[in-house]
Amino acid sequence: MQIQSTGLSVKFASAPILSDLTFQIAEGDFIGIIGPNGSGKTTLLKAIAGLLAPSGGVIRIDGKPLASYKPHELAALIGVVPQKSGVDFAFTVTEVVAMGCYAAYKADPLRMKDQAVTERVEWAMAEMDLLGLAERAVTSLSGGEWQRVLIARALAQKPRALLLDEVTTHLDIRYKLEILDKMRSLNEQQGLTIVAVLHELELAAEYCRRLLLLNKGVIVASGSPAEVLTQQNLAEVFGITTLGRAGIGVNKYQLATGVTESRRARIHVVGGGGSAAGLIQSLALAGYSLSLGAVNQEDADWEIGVWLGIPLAQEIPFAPLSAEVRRQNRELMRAADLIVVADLPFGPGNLGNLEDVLALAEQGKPVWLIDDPPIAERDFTAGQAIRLWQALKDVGAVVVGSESELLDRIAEGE
Amino acid sequence: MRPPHKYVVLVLGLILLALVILVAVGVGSVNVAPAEMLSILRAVLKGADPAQLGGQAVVIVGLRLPRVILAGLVGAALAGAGVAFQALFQNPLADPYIVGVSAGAGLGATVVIGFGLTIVGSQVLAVNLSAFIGALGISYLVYRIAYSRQGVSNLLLLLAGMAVSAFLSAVISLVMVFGSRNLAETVYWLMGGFTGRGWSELWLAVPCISVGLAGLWFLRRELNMLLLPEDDARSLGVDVGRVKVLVLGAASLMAAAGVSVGGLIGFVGLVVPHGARLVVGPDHRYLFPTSVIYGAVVMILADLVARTALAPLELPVGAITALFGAPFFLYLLSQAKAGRR
Repeated sequence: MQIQSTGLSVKFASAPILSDLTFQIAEGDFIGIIGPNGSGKTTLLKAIAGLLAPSGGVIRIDGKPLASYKPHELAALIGVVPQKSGVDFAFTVTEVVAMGCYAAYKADPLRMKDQAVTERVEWAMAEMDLLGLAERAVTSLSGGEWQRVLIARALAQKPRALLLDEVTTHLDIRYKLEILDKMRSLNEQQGLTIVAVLHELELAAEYCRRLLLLNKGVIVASGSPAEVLTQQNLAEVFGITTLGRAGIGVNKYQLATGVTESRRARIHVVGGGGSAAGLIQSLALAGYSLSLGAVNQEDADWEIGVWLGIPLAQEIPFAPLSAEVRRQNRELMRAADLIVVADLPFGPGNLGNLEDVLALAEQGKPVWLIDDPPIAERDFTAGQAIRLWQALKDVGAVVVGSESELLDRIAEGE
Repeated sequence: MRPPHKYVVLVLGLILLALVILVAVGVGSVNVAPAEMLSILRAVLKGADPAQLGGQAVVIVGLRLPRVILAGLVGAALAGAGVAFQALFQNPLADPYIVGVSAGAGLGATVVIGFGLTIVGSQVLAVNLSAFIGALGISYLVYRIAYSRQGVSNLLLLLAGMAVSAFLSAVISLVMVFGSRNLAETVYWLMGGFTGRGWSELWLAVPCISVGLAGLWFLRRELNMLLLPEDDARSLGVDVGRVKVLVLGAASLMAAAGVSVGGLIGFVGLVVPHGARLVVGPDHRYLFPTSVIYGAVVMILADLVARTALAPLELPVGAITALFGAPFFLYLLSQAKAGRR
């Protein structure tokens, strides 16, 4: 089944909610609709479900306009798991799930006898692990259990596509993952098309094959998570600085987000070997402008620096720092308001970093040193690094016990 | 999926209904033993003229039997309409009385009685039609007031029902003043009861109530879905707009027919569905028939009490149902408050 939207527009009381959306959802797709609050995600889902009439444009299901389907015909194709739902009457779980069979009954009352209904309902309840709750009153369920009932009810429709409206938003992380894992397996094993409005970008990136990024009722980007969840898009749409790194698997992202604030201070981080990765992310999220060096290419800290697009002094992989790279590094340090030396190990190859930091410290540049673990455990230069460390302290470099202490003190120093 | 006790409750109700009918037909100013009653009925069914069979036969066939059947039908209609309105408005406090439907029917009836209007020479027919139009019009009015894009607001519904009922009772009072030559008749009608009602009402009540009951039974699955948020029901394949109109039409038809022949009898449409829901749950496949059968039982009993408690004085049935219904309803509410719905 194919869902096709052409120029879809929706208005509420003449205020445009969705404007001119054109997109296509192929059979068997797993597509996530993301965007900030008020961007029109739920409205779009309702429009696809035929629950509200567009003010312009058309949605076609398998080439036929949505409006030409009877309610029960549409329900046989599309199941909806709403965000807000509830019943004040004490139906049992079984009774609510059985309501999913209504469309099939309506289409063919003779075929949809009690036996067929029971089979469907039991299958759907088994899928959502609800058989143990079969006779429980839905008014006594927890939020997570009710959510599973709603999904089972939609599954009992035996639809070709399932529309999920922020079903994970109010659930514990374990249930979120359980539900999305179940959706993934239904998608992969039974070819069920999934269209999910998701609040959590990490989950959207993790589970969806394609994403549709909405902002103010228009599509900002669509495509694979890697194509959509770019820093530029996220900064533009959410107004946040994001740190994402390609990890294991194509769609796996770790996104850390925070509100962007502009801070004037520029901090140069001396890192390497991944020692500064967390620090760089924290500082970037806190809104500082950063530089990094000198690091070898392909090193974990280098990766972060490249991802963030911050200025960095970089050497080719595994090579000792060359005079040219060290010169670049000193330039960056000179331009910074503060130099932070992370708790990196020092060997002959990168000892030059410490020498350069010392040179700048002697010129009066503030330097903070992270001494956790202590320098003695990180010195692989037969004492040279320890001597330079001591010399730095002698010229007034501040020693902080840990990364978090450093972050606190920088924040206070603002 | 179907606990047997739901059927037990239904079958029990049918047995109870048969017993209550037998007792109600047999008991009164002239007591008739069940065996005698059955032989009279058998004779009448074979074509014998009741007048030839003696006084007992005249009382049973001419007066009590139609009255008992009428009371049963009206009880069934009010309880069934209550169930339907509760589903339509997603509110267990809705009943034909509370949402103003009965008041609409009452106004229609009062106008006809007060001004002595007739249709083709029949006041009974005029009362029925006028009450029916009143019920339908008022239910639609209240529904429109409580309706918005987001669906029907329970609060608006109750407030609109209250306001419209208050307004109608004012209009009814005015009509009674201006149509004062039939004041006693009007007052008696408004209090609700089956005194002097018989075959002539039955021929009018039977078709309307049968159609309403059949229609709502046909919509029992949809009634369940109406209890869901409207978008849910639609996405499950229910043509919500159409179903709402059908339910409103069927329930109003029954309520109008019931009220037009029985007057304003309260609480049956509220308490019986509520009690039935406690026993069989909210699934209308069981709730609806259970409510209808027990509604009939309750109304026949109420009428029996009304005409025998202080005989030869007949009490208004509406007073009896409120007398017993209101405390019972409060008991149900206290149960709900304790978390047992």
